[in-house]
Amino acid sequence: MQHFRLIFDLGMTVWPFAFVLLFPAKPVLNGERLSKYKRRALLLGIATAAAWCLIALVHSRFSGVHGLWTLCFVLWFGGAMPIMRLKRLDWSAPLPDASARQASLHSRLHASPVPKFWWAVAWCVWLLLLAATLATVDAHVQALFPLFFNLMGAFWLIMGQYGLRWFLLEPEPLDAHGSVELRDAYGALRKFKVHGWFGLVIGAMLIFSSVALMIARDAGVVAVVVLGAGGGSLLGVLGGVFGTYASVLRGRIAELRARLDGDHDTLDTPA
Amino acid sequence: MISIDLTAATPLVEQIEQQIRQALAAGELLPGEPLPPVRQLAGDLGVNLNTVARAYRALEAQGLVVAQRGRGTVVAPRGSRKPNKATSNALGVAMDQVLSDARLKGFREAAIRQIFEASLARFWQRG
Repeated sequence: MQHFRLIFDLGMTVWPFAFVLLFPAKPVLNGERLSKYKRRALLLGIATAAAWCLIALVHSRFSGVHGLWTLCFVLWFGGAMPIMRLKRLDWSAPLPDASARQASLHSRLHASPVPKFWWAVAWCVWLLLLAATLATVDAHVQALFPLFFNLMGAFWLIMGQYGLRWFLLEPEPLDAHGSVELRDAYGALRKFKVHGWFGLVIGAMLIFSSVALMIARDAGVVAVVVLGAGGGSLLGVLGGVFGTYASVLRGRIAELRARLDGDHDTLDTPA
Repeated sequence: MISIDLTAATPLVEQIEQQIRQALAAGELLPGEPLPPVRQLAGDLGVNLNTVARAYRALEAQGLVVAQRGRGTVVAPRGSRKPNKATSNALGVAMDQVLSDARLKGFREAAIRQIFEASLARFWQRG
């Protein structure tokens, strides 16, 4: 258990730095801002390393490191994300300046790449896990605790369906001529976002419901912690990869739109 | 597809309303088909939510679309769009306007008839 905690906390504090290093860079226009964020990352790195050393000195065997993993949020949102945003300046996709704008008249909300049937299957799986939890709950284990975890799984399914609206309604501004190439690129991004989100939501539901089942069956603290913390962290890292790659795709679309608008400007300009 | 021009003299609400009306007339949107949610169209066109909402309300007042709970705004069934005396009068006024414009621009009757018949054929072929 002690080893797991050590590896878990170490992994969680190291991965934001690893992510930034592995993230491919694009030509940087504002070197001054990047230097500023690199300095910030260096400070965060030093502070994290210092925290580790301090705890190691005080406890001599790293026994007090548990809880350091929460630093990953500070490192991710305060260091990794701003630096990655600066490593790829094409992330943001502002609306085109052109006065002529085009849009599709078909509702994206009614054409989700994840059919309703998939959600129905997910709810059935959750119900099965709920039934298994209620059926196996031991007399000496309070039923309320596993039930809470199981309901968290349902909460993720509900949130997932609401979150899907946000992904489907994200603006998809077209170029002045409504090019098919751009529409296809938006379609591919939408498919990736919706499938990725669905996968994350199902993963979260399975982890919470499985933890509930394990608590109900009195599977032991180690197994519950390994599944809950390990699975949860893996899901968090996958979420980070998913969000970052979606931003990279958005950046590519912004590039494509800028190129198409440039082509149209050239064609529209009389010789 | 819908296209708007931010620099045009026609207000954005009217542009959106006209474009959707044309799409309905051309059969690009079929009865019962949902219109894009206000947030989607406003986001894609980069206009205010209220602009699109006002255009949808105007279309609803004309009986071309209906707001349905849980489905959003959908194209009204064709049966609910029967011409009546008021709509016939309005069409007559609009036709007079087009014809007087054409005459002032120097079009002859034969040319106007030719353009009108081509438009008529185009719309009925698609719708």
